[in-house]
Amino acid sequence: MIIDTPEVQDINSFSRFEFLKETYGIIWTLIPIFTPVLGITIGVLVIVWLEREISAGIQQRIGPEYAGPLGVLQALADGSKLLFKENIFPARGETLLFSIGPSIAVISILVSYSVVPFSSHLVLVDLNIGVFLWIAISSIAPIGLLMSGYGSNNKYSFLGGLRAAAQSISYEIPLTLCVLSISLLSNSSSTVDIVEAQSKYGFWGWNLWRQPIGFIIFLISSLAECERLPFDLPEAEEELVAGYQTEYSGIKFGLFYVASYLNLLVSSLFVTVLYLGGWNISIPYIFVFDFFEINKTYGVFEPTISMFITLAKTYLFLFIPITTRWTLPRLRMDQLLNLGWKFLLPISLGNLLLTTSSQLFSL
Amino acid sequence: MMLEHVLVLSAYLFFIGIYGLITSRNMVRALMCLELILNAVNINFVTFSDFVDSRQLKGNIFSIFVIAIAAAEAAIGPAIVSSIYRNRKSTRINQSNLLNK
Amino acid sequence: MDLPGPIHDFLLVFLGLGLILGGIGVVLLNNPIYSAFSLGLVLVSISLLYILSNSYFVAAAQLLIYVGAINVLIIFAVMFMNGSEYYKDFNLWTVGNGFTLLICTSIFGLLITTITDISWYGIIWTTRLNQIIEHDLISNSQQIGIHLSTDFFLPFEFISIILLAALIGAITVARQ
Repeated sequence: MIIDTPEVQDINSFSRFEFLKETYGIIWTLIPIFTPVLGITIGVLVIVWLEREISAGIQQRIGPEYAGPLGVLQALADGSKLLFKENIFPARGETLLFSIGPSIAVISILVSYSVVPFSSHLVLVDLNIGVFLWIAISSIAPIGLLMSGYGSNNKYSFLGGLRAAAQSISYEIPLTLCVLSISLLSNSSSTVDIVEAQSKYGFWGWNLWRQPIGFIIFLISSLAECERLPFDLPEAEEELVAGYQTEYSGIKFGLFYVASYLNLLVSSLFVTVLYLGGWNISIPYIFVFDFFEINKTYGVFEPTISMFITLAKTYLFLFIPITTRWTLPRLRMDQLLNLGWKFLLPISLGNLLLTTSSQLFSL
Repeated sequence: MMLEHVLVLSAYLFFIGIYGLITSRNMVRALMCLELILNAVNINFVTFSDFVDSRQLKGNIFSIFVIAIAAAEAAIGPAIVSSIYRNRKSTRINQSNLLNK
Repeated sequence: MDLPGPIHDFLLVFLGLGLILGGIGVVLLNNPIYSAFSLGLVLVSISLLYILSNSYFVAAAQLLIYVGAINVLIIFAVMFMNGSEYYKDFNLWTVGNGFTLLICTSIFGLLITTITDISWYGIIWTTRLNQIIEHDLISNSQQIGIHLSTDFFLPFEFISIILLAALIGAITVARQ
């Protein structure tokens, strides 16, 4: 049987074309995953700088000034210092658990960024369980903290890990109930739909005005989830040296540091999405596109503006957690648990009941 | 996804759970093996509901019921184990014969 | 979930490996802390498996309840009762263990042959043909919610009563 050589070449080139297509497919699924990671890292660096500057402002100091203009590069310098420090393992600890712990804490927070919408199409996945996925994934983090606390073979670390797990479990329930009442209000738990539901009346359409109790409870429990200062018992210096991160050094300590700021950023983003209207401009009767006289169909402009608005709201909101850090004293452990179980849980249940009944009557 | 592969995986999980439940001497480990068995059942429910009944999703609802029952069991189990541990200073299964006398 | 073929296969193999190794780890590791953490690995890979088979709601519930609550509770229980006795009983291989292993592997082999014998695609095709084509407007979680509040309302209420009873019972048993 004779086959013409051009035919064989055609078949070859066709199979190579298929292979190339497959490779391109894989690359095109990976690029949207890695671009946000880069952006999030930059966002964390910005938060670290912001926290240093605001703390300095509150305490009437100057703050970072030498690394770059206004000390912008200070966080980068700190990070590279941590990267080059020595990795110390505790002598009789469990090395495997000690190494896995920080990475679980970081990964579980990083995955929850996949449902945060920056614009109506600028979201990694628009699942119909959106917010619920964030709640579910953020409940993995205590396992990493327990791992690192146990693996350090140190009483302080162990106590810190147990405290962190107990705190994050008990404050997750009011958080979930608040999110549930929001998704009842917007008839969907997809993050994009929640933002769309707030877009009607500009500033007055925000969920903040329809859910004031929910907003306050969400604020308190997200502060507790991030282990920010009124609730930073797992790493209270006077009692537990540094909590579960006592034995860590080098980049593993850096991972815990990054994880706490990532958590802060993601809860601030979710406050923006759930309560502060997301990417909408939020000033009624002003339309950006009329203002700049730019055609709406022109692709790049709209997502950029939306992303800018979301980030601006997020970073403005971040001033509240940062200033509470230097204002409020730390709670005791029993006060913390009492606040969670005996105060926030009943109030958030009542809030859910109110929301449900108002939704039922408005049907 | 191949249906057979997932079924084989869930059968594997079920039998390793049974083996651990019968042979383990530690009560907490027996509880863990119980969770493995429940999860093997859940995998079957969800996979069949995806392949056969993708409109009604009744398998998903059953798996949610199983998860809720497992949560109740996981609340009761460690409580009983801890009270036995407080009385007997041991979590060996064969030493928990408080009703035997 | 619609993924390109190679990524889908790679994820399936990866999750299957995690499931198999984690399952062995739960049963065979000497230190119960390690087996509790490997139980966590098994639960997470099962939840990712659910995501691969398009059941997002069950996957999120699995993560939230199994990994976030049950596994953490088991880890707490293990840490609470971590005496020195665990290191006494490692490698106690008795006749009973061998016998159980034999029975389990034989039934497992039987199940595998049954699974490979049945022509699943015939069954799937017949059931697919019998189904009424509905609109795909309702999402998965809405479908589950509708079913829970209509067809499965009584079991749903019973589950909530069982959970309440378990909660009170656990508190009364554990506090003394």
